[in-house]
Amino acid sequence: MFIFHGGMAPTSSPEQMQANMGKWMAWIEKLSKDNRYVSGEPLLPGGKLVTGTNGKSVTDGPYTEGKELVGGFFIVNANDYADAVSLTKDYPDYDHGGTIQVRQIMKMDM
Amino acid sequence: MPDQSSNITQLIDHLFRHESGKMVSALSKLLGLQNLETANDIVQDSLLQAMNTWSFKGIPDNPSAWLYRVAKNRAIDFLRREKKFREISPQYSYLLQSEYTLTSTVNNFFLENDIQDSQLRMMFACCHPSITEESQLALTLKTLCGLSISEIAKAFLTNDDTIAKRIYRAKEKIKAEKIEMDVPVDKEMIARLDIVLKSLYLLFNEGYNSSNPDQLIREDLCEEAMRLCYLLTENKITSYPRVKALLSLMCFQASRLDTRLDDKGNIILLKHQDRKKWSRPLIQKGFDYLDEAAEPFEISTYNIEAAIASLHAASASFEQTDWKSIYHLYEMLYQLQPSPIIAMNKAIASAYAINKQNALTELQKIKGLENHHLYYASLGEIYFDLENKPEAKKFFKKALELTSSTYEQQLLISKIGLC
Repeated sequence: MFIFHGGMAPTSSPEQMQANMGKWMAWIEKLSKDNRYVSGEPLLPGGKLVTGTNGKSVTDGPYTEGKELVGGFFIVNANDYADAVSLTKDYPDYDHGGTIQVRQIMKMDM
Repeated sequence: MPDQSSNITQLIDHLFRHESGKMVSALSKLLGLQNLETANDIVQDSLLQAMNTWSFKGIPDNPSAWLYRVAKNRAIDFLRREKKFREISPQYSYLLQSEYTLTSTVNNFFLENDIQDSQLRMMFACCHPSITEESQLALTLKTLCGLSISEIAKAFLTNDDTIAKRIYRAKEKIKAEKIEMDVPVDKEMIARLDIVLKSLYLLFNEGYNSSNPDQLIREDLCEEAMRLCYLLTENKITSYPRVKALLSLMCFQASRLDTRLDDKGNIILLKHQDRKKWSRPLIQKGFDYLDEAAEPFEISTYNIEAAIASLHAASASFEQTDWKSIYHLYEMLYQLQPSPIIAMNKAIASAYAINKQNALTELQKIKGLENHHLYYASLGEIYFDLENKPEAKKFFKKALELTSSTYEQQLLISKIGLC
């Protein structure tokens, strides 16, 4: 699983946003062609943080900092971490301060 | 770059940029120009949402409609929240304050015809006479063409601060003078239209004339100027002959864009350009608009300039050019607009229409181009043709001191080498 943090500044120009979108689509297309891409979703900004016994406290969150904000995720097929990391080289948002968290989804053998 | 990405970019060529201009115009008409900032924010938000969603889910069947839906919803949210209809949009306040008519009223602002009308109004607002010329250009590029401040700064070879200030001053004027998106009538219309045309002309020239490391942005300026001029020709209220003449001129000039630089970025002068590579479709469009510009008869500088450009475009070679007619047209142009730049062009045309000696005499009479590199380059060229190499060298060197463009410097250095 790729979890995307941060990314393009909201002040970017229309042309830059469109160019960035093109790169994302190309990346997804490449991953799909290689049968790596399983699914992915973008996340809207905002959200709620629920804590306390029985979910007593509900606050805006989880993060307010743009850099920490999770913008979306992909689920991809990879053999191991090294393989998964190698798939992240086309991530378009490195130049915009974005980072990727790479995690393995636990498979339950029944 | 992967191929897929360029295909996608082509599919929706400048979609974000152009839709941004359309939506800002529509929203500003709806919310009033005093809320230009809010209109900008709504559009920016909508584009961001599109970028995030489309990246993952692909481009929807009707991307424009998708963007409009998001922008409309945000505008409706804003209107419900603010409830200050009379301040926001006095003309439409009675329709906006009732939930029965709110949504359908907002929808109406995003119909194709209405968007075009809004863009037109926005052009007139950006070119309001109380806003300075340089601020008019910056504001036009920001609001109608969706260029960011740093993109505009790059295009005008200046820094972000300067452009930000120009736009800030324009917005202050909009507030202070309570400028709204009105279409002027009768005589005022012609006066305002001339300002709009002048700013489009300047915009095109900015893109056409000087060379810049970021060539792409420069060509975009030409494209944007043509696109806005085309909008003016398509609207009954503004489709005056001079508008068509300006578009004709732009088509002729743009037809040569690809042949003006060689592979290494060196300038190729008109004399040496490969005329087979001039864009035929654009030349044809130039002639079509020039024909349309003839009726009803009016003499504008654009008509004459387009006529000059058409003679260049029609000529099979530099030598076969109808220089006598070109010289005559420059004489007419000079009478209409006696500027030193036109005098210089007239003088250059006379070198081929009459003789080099005549060109030299005309050039020497010109006052007011003491800091213009092209003036000295032209003098150098004429002296060179008259076989006076020491004088030619002197003027080429003077021109070299005055130009900051590396391409022009290269050209001048090679000329000096020949002296």
